[in-house]
Amino acid sequence: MPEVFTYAFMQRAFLVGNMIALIAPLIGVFLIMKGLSQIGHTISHVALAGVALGILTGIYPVYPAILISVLAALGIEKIREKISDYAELSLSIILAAGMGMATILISLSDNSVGIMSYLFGSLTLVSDLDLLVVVPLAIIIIALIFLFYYGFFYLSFNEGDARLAGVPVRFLNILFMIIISVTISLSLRIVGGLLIASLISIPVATALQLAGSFKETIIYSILAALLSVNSGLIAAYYLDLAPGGTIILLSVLYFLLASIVKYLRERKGIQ
Amino acid sequence: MNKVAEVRNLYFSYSQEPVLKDINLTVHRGDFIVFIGPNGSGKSTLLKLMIGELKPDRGEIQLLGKDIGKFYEWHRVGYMSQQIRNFNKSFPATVNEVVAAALYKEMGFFKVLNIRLEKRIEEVLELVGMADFRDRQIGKLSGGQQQKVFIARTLVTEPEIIFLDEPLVGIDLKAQEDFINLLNRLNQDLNITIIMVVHELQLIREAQKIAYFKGGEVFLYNQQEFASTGYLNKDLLKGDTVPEVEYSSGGDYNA
Repeated sequence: MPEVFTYAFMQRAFLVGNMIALIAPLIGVFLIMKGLSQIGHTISHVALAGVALGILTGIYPVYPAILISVLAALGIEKIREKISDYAELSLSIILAAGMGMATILISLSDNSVGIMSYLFGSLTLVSDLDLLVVVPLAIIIIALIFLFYYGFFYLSFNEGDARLAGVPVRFLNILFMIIISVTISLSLRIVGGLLIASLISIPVATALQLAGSFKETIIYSILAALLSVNSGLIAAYYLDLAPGGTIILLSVLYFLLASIVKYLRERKGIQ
Repeated sequence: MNKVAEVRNLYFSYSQEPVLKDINLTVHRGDFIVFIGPNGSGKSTLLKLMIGELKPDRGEIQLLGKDIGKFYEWHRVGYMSQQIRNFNKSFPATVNEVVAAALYKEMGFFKVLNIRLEKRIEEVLELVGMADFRDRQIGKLSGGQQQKVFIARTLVTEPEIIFLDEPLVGIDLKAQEDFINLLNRLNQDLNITIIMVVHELQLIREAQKIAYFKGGEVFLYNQQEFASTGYLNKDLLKGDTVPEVEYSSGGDYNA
């Protein structure tokens, strides 16, 4: 067995990383198709404030990250419902408020190593508690997406028509915002708060180059994320780099490769 | 003939600007009614009120025997909005997936397709002549083909009444002809009630009844009455001619 798989901390990192690689692009497909990719950035910055609060108060940081990001997400959904014209602006304001709060809380804390691991991701700090929280929650998120699959699909395609087809629009929108917040909070440890939004969006962009249907988009984006996370973790281990950076850069590389494949296909006239 | 939709003494305004005043309209099963009139005369507004997308200031709307506020059987009603083809053309969904979404209420615990629903989709795509396109991405089809997919999506829940808001806008003449033939088949063979906002003369000629909107009021005619006004020879979009056959505001329009 290669050395990278023999250490317990790497096994934990791979397990958590692969769970994240399943859920991040899964929600990313619906988020991007709804034209709301900015929400990923906003919530991840707000979640960092939760992490900083957790570190400052000695609470397991993922819990306050989930709590604060869910509250922010519900606030965003309310704004989106009421004033859709300025939704982008309100997202920027919430992002700034989250980051400002995170900065203040970080400066109050003397645990800068802990904070750094949540900003850029960390291999060595994935704990057994992380496993216990991430694995079941990820399974619940996957189950929820499949439970309401065509509801989320219709919401992404056309919210107005979905309402007429009997899709519980408000309930699913709120549920979706909660799922995004939890996914982002769970992903902070491995990918880091500054980069998680990219793991939500880049594999989807990669899949869109190759997919012929919505279902294929989901499958390809999960495959792209799995490939990015596993190759990124291996690279981070051997090159002693922050995994968030290697995972995202490799996902960008796969996106470029997929774009080239698409270009070559179109040149040959194969669709 | 049983009533499938009824509007009684309906008033509606957009921020104090009255759009519809004391409107009455009765629609019977199997009717094919077109709404015509100048832009801004309230045609689409009445359509949206009849499917509960807008709420009236005053008055009553009944759909399939129930007050619109208490109506939940949306699978019995189909609606194609004016904006239906304003979707993200890069959205990677196939024709099959788009039509399937309308079956949400009929899916089981997990909101995914089963064999029975797959069969329904196949049949409805066959009906609109799009069966060979089921695995194609909707954004890559022509305007006319997209329109057929959306009518398939409207029909897949087997509605008794369908509302269409300017369904021929932006599609070529051949596709328009196909679409009109399809509507006639739906109306005559399947007895589906059709209510439609239109500007095109060829569609007005197909309808049994014509509701003319002007100045916040609605004037209802049957095809013969309407043709006799000579209205069809005038410019519909100008809307500067009010047919003289029947004044119907405040009354009942069972022409």
